[in-house]
Amino acid sequence: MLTVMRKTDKNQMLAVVLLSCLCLIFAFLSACAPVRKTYLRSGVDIRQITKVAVMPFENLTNDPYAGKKVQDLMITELLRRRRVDVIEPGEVLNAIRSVGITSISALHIENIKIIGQRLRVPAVVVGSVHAFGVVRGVTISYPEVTIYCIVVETTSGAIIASTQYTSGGTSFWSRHFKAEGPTLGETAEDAVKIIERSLFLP
Amino acid sequence: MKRWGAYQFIICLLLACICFGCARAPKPSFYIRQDFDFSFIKKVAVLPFDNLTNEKFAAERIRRLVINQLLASGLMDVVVSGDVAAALKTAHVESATALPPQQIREIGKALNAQAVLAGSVERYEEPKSGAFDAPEVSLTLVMAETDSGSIVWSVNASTGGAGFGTRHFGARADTISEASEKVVKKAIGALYP
Repeated sequence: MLTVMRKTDKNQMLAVVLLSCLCLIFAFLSACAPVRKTYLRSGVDIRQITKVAVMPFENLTNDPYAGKKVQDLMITELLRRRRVDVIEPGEVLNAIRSVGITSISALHIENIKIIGQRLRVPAVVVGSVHAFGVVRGVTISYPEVTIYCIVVETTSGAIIASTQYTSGGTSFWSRHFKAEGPTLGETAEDAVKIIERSLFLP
Repeated sequence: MKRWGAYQFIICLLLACICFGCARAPKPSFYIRQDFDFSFIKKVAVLPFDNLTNEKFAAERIRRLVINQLLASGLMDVVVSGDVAAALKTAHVESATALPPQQIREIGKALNAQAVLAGSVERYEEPKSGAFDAPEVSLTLVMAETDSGSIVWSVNASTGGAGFGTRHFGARADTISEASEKVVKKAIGALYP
């Protein structure tokens, strides 16, 4: 009888410990989920788009080359996945200059339509980089990359897809066990991959 | 049996701490005009936001987040930023946050938008709080309908500070981008819960 009671006590303790661990894991995981929001216009099948022009990304960071770096990563990722064809960046720049645009933030619908006609693309990718750097925390440093990206149809000038993704922050292992986290480059690549998949679908 | 009761009490306390620890953020304070039919708004022009912080690009970052969140909500279309800039230039607008009703009507007509959304970013920083960083983001959004130029919705939302998990268990704190995303979602959610 006493042996049975001790076994029951042990089982109960084990159940309590397991339940507490599950609660803690849940609490940590819910704090770790990356943030992403995607809009895809209804009635438009983005899979029909087979060719795009990637506009120079607007740089809203302190890194003077962040926009160019992310644009290059985006072009590479689009070509690597072979989902869409990409116009050569030099041609895109020529087209932008030909419509007299000096700043990407001033790109409006009429400009997009003209660029679409000149480059013969059904859509353009326009984006901005909000964060690109290593953040020096109190006890730990971590890379942070935030990208905002939209796909605009060149015939109507309508936004057919939009997404924003932030990648980075400290991982559990970095914070508590001083494990090496991803580099800024790796973080940027991951962010671009997710943006590309969100916009052009897997 | 007594021990099992004690274990149950500890589990409940732990769960309560986690739940209450998550509920630290105050709800946004907002005004919404009761007699206005928001389904009338099919397209909105998001104007450049006022930057009341020391971070140079804070306003533009938050503005893009707001545009994305409005699109993601699926409830209204958003005018392309370049068109908004062109319309403001044509209307000789000096400050997008101090528009008189006449200019709001002009801009609405030029962009074919039923409403304009203006805003300001009050806080956008990562103060070091003890052994951890705690990003703080605070913003105000004001929507005016372009027929009369009157305000139909306004909200003030903020988020930030270190959570219970971060303070006591070393959980990962939000980055400033994540905090921005949350406050924008909270603000837009006040319009369309």
